[in-house]
Amino acid sequence: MEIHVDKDACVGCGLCVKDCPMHVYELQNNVSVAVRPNNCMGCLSCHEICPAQALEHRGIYAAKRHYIDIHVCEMLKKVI
Amino acid sequence: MSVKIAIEELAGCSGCTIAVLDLHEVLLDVVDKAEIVYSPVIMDVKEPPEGIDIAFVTGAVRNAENQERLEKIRRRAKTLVALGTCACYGGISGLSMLHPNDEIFSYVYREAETVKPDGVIPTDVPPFLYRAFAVGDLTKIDYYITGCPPKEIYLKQIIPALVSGDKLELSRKSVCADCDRKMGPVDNWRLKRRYEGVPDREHCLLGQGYLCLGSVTFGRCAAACPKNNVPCHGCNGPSLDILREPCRDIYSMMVRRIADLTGKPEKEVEKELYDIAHTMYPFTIGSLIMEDKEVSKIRDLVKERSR
Repeated sequence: MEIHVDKDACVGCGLCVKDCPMHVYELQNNVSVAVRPNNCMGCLSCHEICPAQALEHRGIYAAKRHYIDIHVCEMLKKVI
Repeated sequence: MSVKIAIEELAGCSGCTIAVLDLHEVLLDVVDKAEIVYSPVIMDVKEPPEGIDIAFVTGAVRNAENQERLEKIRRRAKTLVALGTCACYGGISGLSMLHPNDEIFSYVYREAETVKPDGVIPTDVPPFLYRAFAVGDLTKIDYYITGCPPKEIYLKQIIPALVSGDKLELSRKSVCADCDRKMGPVDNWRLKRRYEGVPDREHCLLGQGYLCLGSVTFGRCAAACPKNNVPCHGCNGPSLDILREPCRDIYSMMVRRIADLTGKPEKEVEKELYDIAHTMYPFTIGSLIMEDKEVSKIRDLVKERSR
């Protein structure tokens, strides 16, 4: 699994470390680091809890798990 | 040929139009390529002309006149842009849904300090619609620019790009992504009202007990409030993950984050929160999109208070 942490955005709260069921993350110098990316099962609970939206899992999108309202999709594309 | 720009006003405070004027010298570059043909706030034109290229619409739709004006500007503009949080999510105007119509009329025409002493409620004003709407709930919108008002640093990039038809890549993260405070687990957390004490500048406001909506709010302000020791009110509307995911909502995500930060059970956190309508949804209560989420509290709040 390729996990990207936006170091500028990360606020070092450690919620992803606490929340990840597979212990993928560790805090290093107040920034979250994906130290065990291969453990990741792609549940994206870390996306849900991250206050700064600093996490990105290449190729996995949270929304694919749920039906999303068509109006929401239309609006999402147009927010600048 | 220059691009024709219009700015329409609906139920709002005109602050978004003033935000366009806040472009300062960049405005000169904009009017080099574009012409403002209609804007009731900054010029004396009564009706939008035909053949507008880009129309900005500010404010929510609360009464029949707002709706008529929105439909007219949609017909006359090639591109319609929702400018500001009222247009995008109903904004402050949406809070009017927390009161019955007769209560609002009575306050506006009889109880406010500045009213005429005769206390007559006029009958020739446009009637209210049954609820407030964001403009996107009623018509096709081409772009959304959130913010109350949209901040100058972003408009300086967005408006010239819209006029010249260029593509623009801006951050799509939350307010926390721009905030420089340290966030981390806290003990003995207790909710504080804004007037209690002075927050320390170094640590997360939410961790200090202040209800800061930064983590659930779209980052279009460079975290201006938290950087000046003021908790985020959520004036840019929901962060895009909350907008996108059907199972996420401003209230539920705030409760979850507070619970995770403090180790308190969610139920305990919920007991401490107060006046959900004004603390969690002040800028989004008028949005059908936000209300239609299954987990949203907006429906119940409106039902409970608008009787």
